[in-house]
This record gives sequence, structure tokens and C-alpha cells, in this order.
Amino acid sequence: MRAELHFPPDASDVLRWRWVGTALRWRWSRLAAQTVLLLIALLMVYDGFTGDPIAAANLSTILSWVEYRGLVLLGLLLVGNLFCFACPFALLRTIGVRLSVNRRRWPRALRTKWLSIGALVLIFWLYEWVDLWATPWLTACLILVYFGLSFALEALFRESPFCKWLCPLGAFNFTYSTVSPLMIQPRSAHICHTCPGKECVRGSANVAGCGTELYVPAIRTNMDCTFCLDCVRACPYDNVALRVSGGARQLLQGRLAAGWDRATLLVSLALMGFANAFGMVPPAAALDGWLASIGVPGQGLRLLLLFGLVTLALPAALVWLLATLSSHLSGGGDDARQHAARYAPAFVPMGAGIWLAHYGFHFAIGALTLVPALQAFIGDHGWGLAGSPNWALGPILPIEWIFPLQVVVTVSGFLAAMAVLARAGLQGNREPMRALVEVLPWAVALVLLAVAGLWVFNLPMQPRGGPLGGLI
Amino acid sequence: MTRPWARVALLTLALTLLSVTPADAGGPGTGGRRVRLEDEPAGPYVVRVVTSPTPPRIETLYLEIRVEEAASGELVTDARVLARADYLDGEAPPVEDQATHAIAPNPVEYGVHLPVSEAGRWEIRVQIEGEAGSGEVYFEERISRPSSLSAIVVIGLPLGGLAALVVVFLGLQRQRQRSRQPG
Repeated sequence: MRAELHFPPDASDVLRWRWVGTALRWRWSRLAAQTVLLLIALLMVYDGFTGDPIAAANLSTILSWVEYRGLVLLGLLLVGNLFCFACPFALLRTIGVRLSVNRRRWPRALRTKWLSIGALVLIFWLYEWVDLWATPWLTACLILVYFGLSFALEALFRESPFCKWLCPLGAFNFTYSTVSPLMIQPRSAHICHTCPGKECVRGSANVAGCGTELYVPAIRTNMDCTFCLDCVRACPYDNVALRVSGGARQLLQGRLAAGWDRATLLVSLALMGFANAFGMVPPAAALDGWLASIGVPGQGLRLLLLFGLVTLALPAALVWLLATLSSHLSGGGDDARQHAARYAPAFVPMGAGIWLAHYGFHFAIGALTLVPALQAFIGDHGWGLAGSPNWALGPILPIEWIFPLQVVVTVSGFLAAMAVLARAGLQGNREPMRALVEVLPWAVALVLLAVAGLWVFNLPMQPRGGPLGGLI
Repeated sequence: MTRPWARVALLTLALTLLSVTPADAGGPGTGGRRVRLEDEPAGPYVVRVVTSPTPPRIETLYLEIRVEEAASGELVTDARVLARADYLDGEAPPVEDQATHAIAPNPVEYGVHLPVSEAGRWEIRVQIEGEAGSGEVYFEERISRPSSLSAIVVIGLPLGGLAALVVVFLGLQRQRQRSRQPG
């Protein structure tokens, strides 16, 4: 039963908005959203195994690599972590919880974002090596692996370890939700501090608490928040708000990148954005050819070397190097780890810019491909209701707009990153010149990444899968 | 802090937009394929044509063609498949070549590269000659003009951002020093 408390009106709290708020606070809202995505996921698996092997005509590949990637980024930048809210893998996970008997704590040694980084590297490597983007049945397999891992880990362990420590989609969404406008906050911190039950994190007899064990008044960023809204439903005082108050200011919270693993995740994802786009331009094929010419056997190994280097070894080394340099230049005081925590978040807007330029491009030129693919799917199953597919459909923006938009998005990400660096450097009323010396190494790294991003988007993409080059 | 940054950002974005110009280098593409014709009747055959990359640019139009017998649905792998591109928006030499299995990713299909020379609308015709007879399909394809940034802009924009950062910090330092001076 909920305690009756009176709060002043708060227009920034989405949960108090008339229609949206009512829908979100509805007990079954997440289940309803998850059910919709579960049905879509099942459709993708089915068409992936049984449908057209051409990726451009298969729902599995179109929905995964064109629609999902574009929409998830737009959702993150404009609203919040909508995919994790409606995640179908978490739905099966809930069944895992019900079936499990004695769930243990996730081992302490594995409570690190290094696992997420490893999973991300693995996915991006597979994406290039086995052409996930071009292979519907492999995309379907990947979806099943997500379901299986999510189910198994939740059945065996508490604290949603799949979401928090392993899921590459979750790691991506958590990271870029740190610039999302919506964020969970207490309506009154005082009520939280005097609350005896802490149901938002512990749960109650009827409602689960936070799956990733976040305590509402301690939330400073969206990192690790799946937007499940269980805390909203669990709070006996109706004291949880979903406020339009997040945004890039979350990046100034040192805790976001506290620890080498978290700092590396933020930098690594930005470099993954570059590497993922780089895989589609001629120099990637040239580099692969060069590695082959010096005797590195097998494309899988060559790609593993490239991706391991650019998305794992380089970011880890870069964070350590920049933080050490920044700490040294500032003349002591804070140690390297504190510098990493302060400045690594600047890579989030830079990464968001690169990812949006890349995924937004695919979405802009291919979003409507879903329509003829769906028509073809319906027609193939003998239901003549959808009419004949119009394969001319595809772009949602004029082609001429897209390259300028890519450049603007990349440059905007870079400028936002520089602004975050500046704000972080000046925190605590530091001397501007001392702050400048501290931020310079990070700023130079961001300049290099921005140049690399613009350079990649400036290159002609390979007609992959054809004889004109590309990585296959 | 916010106002100078907002001004710098707006100015940079405006300059960025202005600096995107047509150039000889290739512009962006997906590398992805796009189905252009599906189960399209062509005499005794049905044909599927897939183009790549998306969007196609000058010099980079590639077709993958699958041919099936309309009556039996059997794949036809021994036909002679010709592809031709004719420019619709003015004068440009037509491009014609035979599609072969050798350059098709899927060996039962036919692949052909058509190095179209102009941006604009092209009519793409695919002719099939085989034991069952001959057939033809066609569709219109829009070839995009490549856009790109010069190397100076690619390097200059981020360096400009770095310079702006330094200028902002120097300005703040000067402001702070002035405020400390007595009187």
C-alpha cells in the first residue's frame, strides 16, 4: 500500500505527465513493451533461418543492422535507454529468476566492465569476420545466444549480471544514456533517507527492486540503469521521478568513470565507433592485405589483431597514458585514476557523434527497406494482403543531405566533447591555466579521433560482398 | 562558459556545412546491398537484381543478378546475361558489360560492375539469353554525386576546436587575473 504524501507539481517529471506518465507507471508497461519486442525478435529469428538469404531483403538483418541501430541511438539521445526498458532478453531472464532456486552473488572478480568491453570487441570482430551484417541466419543465431546467456546468468546469479557486466548492447546503451535527457531521481531525498525498507533496491513481496542494485537517491548518472522502472513501482511513497534533467551534465560526475574499467569502456566505445566505420572503407581492405602479405594467416586472426588493437589495447593504453600525463602535467595532487575518472567521459559525446554519423547514415538511407521486406515476407507466406513489394523504398532523407549531416554530427560530438573537457577541467574553481595543462593531452586525443572519424566518413565505402574490395 | 562555447559551436557548424562541396573523391556509402527488382518477369525467366553500394556513386555501381526459370523455378546458371546503363539526364556514354559468375559473391548468380560516369538518372537494362529463350528487365537508378571535405577541412575543423579551447581558457585566466588586481 502506498503512503499518501503531497509533492509540489513537477513538470519535469515524465511520470506525472497525463498520458505518458500513466502508461509508464502502469504495472505491466514494461512487460507490454517487452512482449512487443519479443514478438519482433521471434520474427527476426524465424525469418533469419527460413527467409531470404539476401540481407537487404531479410527482416532479421534489416531490423538488426538498420532499424535497431538507428532507432536505439536516436532514442538514447532524445529520450533515454528505451531499448533496455523494452529488452526482450530480460523477459526470458525473468523466467530464469522464477525457475532458479539458490542464486549466488556474481563473483567479485567478475564485477568489472572489462567483461562488457570484451563482449563488445567480440561482437564487432564477429560482425566483420563472419559478416553478421550480411548473414541473416547468423544474425538469428546471435539473437538466440543473447536469449540463452541472459536466461542462464539470471537463473544462476543475482544482480542481473548479464545486463550489468556482460551484455554488449547494455554496455553501449548504458554508456550513451549518460547523455540522455531522462534520469531516475528521488522526488524528495529526505523521504529516501528516512525510508526503512529501501524497496526501490530491495524490492517487496509484490514488486521487484532494482535489477542492477541501484539505490535511487544515489543515482547520479544513467550508467547501469535499465530504465525498467521497477524502482518506481516498488517505492511505497511514490517518491521516484523520471526527470528531464539528465543530459551531458552526467558526464561531470566523477563516479561515471571511476575505475580503469569504466574509464576504458567510455574511450573504447568511441574508438569502436571509428573501427566499425573503418571496416567499410578501402584502407581497411588494404590493411588486411598488408597483414596477409607479411604472413599473418587467416582473415579471422588478422581482424582480431586489428580490432583487438584498436578497440581494446589502444583505449586501455590511451586512458592510462593520458591520465598519467595529465596527472604529471598538473603537478601532482590527484592521481592518474582520478584524472581518468574526470576526463574520460569527454569521449562519450565524441563517440555518440561518430556512432550517430555511422548508424544514422544506414538508417537514413535504408529505414524504409523494412516496408518491402515485410511485404515480401507476408507474400512468401501466402497472405496476399500486403501487395507487391516496392523495392524502390529505402531512404527517409534526400541522399544529398546525408553526408553534410554526418559531418555536422561528428563535429557536434567533438565540440560537445571539448566543452565537457573544459567544464571538467574547471570544476572545483581550478586555475584556468592549470586546468588547460591538464586537459590538453585529452583534447589532443579527441582532435585525433575527430580527424580520424571525418576522414573515414569522407572515404568512399566499399561495395562489400562484391568484387570491388571490402573485407570479403 | 556557455555563451562563448555556444557561439564557437554555431560558427563551426555553419562553416562545416558550407565546406561540404562536390569533389572528385568518393562520398559515403553503406557498402550495403539493395534489392531493386524481385521476381521480375523477363520472358521465360524471373529475375532478381540487387545493387550495391547504397547509394551508388559515380564509377561504383555493381549488380548481382539471379535468374530463374519462370515455369519451374529452377535457377538458370548457363545463360548469357548482359547489363547496360543509359544516361537519362543528358549526354554520357552508355556502359555495357556481361555479367559473370566469376565476380558474383553467390556463384549461382551473375555479377557485373558498371562504371557509370555521371550523376543523375540512369536506365539499367538486363538482358538474358538462354536455352528457354530471351528476356529483358529494366529499372531506373539514381547515381549520386560524390560529396567530400578537403583534407584541410578534415584536419582544420578539429584543430580549430582545440584552438578555441585554448583561447577560452586563456580568456578565463586573464579574467581571473583582472578580478584579482586591487582596485
